[in-house]
Amino acid sequence: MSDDSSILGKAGRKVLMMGNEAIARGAIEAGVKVATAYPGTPSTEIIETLAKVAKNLDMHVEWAVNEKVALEIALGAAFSGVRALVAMKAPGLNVAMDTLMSAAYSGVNGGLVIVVADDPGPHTTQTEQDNRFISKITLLPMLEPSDPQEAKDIVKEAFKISEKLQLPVIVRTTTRVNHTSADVILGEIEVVKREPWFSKEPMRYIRASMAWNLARHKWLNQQMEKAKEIMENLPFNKLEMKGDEKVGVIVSGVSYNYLKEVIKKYCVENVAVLKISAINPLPEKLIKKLLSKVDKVLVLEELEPYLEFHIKSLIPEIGRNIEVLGKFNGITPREGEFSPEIVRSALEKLLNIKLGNPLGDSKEKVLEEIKSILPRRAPPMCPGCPHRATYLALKKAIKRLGLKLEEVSVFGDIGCYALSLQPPLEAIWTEHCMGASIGMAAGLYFAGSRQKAVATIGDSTFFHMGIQPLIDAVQHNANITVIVLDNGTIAMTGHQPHPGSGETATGEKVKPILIEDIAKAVGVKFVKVVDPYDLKETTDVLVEALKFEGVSVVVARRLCAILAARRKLTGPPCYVDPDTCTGCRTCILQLGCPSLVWEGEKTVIDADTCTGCGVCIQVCPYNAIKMEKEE
Amino acid sequence: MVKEFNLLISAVGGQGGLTLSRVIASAAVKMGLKVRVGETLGMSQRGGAVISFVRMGEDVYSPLIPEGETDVLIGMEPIEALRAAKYVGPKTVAIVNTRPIKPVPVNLGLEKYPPIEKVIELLSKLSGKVINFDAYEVAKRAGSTRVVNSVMLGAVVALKILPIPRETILETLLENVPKGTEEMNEAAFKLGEDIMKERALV
Repeated sequence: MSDDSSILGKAGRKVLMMGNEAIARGAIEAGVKVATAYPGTPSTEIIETLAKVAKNLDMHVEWAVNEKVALEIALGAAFSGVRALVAMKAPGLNVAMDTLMSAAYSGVNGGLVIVVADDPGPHTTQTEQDNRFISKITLLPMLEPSDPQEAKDIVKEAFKISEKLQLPVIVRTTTRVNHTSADVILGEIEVVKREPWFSKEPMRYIRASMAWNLARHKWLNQQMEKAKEIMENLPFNKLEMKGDEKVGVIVSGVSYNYLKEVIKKYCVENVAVLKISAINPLPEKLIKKLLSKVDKVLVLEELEPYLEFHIKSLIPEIGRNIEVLGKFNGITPREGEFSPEIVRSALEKLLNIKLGNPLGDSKEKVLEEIKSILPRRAPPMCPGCPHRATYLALKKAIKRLGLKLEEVSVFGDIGCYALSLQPPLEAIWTEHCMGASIGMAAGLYFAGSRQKAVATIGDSTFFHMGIQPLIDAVQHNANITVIVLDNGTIAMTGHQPHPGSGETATGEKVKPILIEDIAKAVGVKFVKVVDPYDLKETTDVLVEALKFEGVSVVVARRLCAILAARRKLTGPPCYVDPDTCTGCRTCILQLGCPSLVWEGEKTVIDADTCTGCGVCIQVCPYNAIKMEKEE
Repeated sequence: MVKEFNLLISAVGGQGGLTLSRVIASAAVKMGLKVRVGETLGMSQRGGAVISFVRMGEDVYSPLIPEGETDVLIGMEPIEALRAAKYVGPKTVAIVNTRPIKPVPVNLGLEKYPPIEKVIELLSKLSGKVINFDAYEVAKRAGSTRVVNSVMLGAVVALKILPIPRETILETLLENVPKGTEEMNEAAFKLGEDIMKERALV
């Protein structure tokens, strides 16, 4: 949200910043030298913001090919003594986990901060994975901010903690912090001048010796003992307690804001509040300080009962019974994100009072009626999206081979093309995680199914995690068709470049790596490139590919329609000749393009959104759709 | 200083709802107000439903508006205005663009788009006041439907209910629109203001 000048602005200035921009500013204030990520909502804007100012700061900023590589790049930099940041969405940490586990044993020299953005809701993520538990598996320190100001300040502090403990530090955020904008006061930008140098220390950096691994495990636990003191005194933990309260709330993350607002709005008094930003190790002394005073405590945390579990384990030390309200007794939900209403209702149960209900019965009734007449508006594939044409061509190819749609399994993958799940295409059968389509398609073939297996995967997803399963499929001679939907960009997260795009995050032009070259290099015998806007050619090639025995790869290449429009590469809009249009609706029923609007009797093309891709022209049985308006 | 002012923008991705929230929030920061903006950005470019919460004032902490507490609703599209219904209440002034953008399932005949009169009727049952007009028609007069967000902003500013002066908002708008479109956006903003004057609402 802010421009370059506010990202690099002077200390003391108050600017509007999105949480992710604040995290980027925190990295800048900490003098980070290397910053990297694979794009993933809701974390993308961190690296996007840094990429814009990388040159001013002599910072290496890049979109790595996947999260594991991103972490390894940051780790290598941190070995040399400079500070490094890596950011990822929740499932990205699964990809990077292998590296992270060993990184905890080697430790770091320069500060290494891993920002992982969880997604309660979920808004844009395949699961509601609660990564706070990862801190217990990796044995690494973890911090969590509650708003953009804290996000900036905590990231800066995390670098200091990382260097003090010689350990990577995880900063865990949630969408409502990453994507909330707020006024943020900028801090001083530290000048961190260090000569990067990697000193050979086999015991730290080589995990081949089991004796060394045992020793490093002990070292790691010792470091985490030291971390307790740091976390206990972390200035971002806040205990608000007079001492005579009988009830208390322990809260973390964005929920702290909902709590403060409800407390203020309803003038709630006599509730002790402990806000925790130290997620691992937890500030046990602070928690016990609150527990020792109260009879009843409400734990406010989104997703799993991470805090609640630990808090309950501390109660025996207090020596009397304290009632804990949270997930285990169903006071707050384990699924979805919190809201001011959920927090208000939980607080009512803690206090045994009603704090007012703005929803009257009559409003409830109107809302019910609204719900019953409101059409859904799931994000569709964009007007002119080349993936729409590719999936339509695939369906046509299947029919031309005399097969039924249910006889060809279409495995999907992560990206915009997953939106093909919606009517009218209803194309993909699966969407699990990055790169899964190819391996699962091969698995269906190896199971001996008589169904043909097709994997559809995006260009960037292919680079991220699609190459290894392709090699596997070739080695074991799977009879599958792989369609790579190549729109030249990482479109879903806002058009970041990938290895095939021909440029880097900071705008340097580089030689694009071609997907067809990779396919040929790993031994695929059938490799063809098509333009999905040519529906007939694409269908013909897909028919051939489906008939081919063995692994076939078809690269459907056409620039993302949004990027094409930005680069002024789109044509004039198409239009429907109302005299020729019979109102058969074939165009809409086959394509479902948002620019094709049904006006009761005929189709009309919305000239404001049509990109002139011309695919609907090829679909209309009556030639009623034309490219340019005749004078 | 204002204690709490809640503005909700409900739009279809691509209508410029996010630009509006940025403009109003930036203008509020210029005025020294405490600001929280909550929005769902995941697929905002893709024609999905996008809701932005812009909150200002010293009692504001949550990035989400508590249900029923909206002061101003900017409904960029009729059914999207209705989708925000649980956040509106007796104190809400709702300004709604009446031009529909039909979701794909409606074009496919799988779902029905409700009549605009019904949309306004239902919203009026919950919202203190509902003002509606065809903002696309106004935007076209300014030069392009792309500036429909500036039309809506002008209309809201004309009502003089925001805790930010007109000049600050207009200045911030022009700082945040693409280079070369300032004139068209300013024209759209002023046409939005005029609509409210014509309706004798100001």
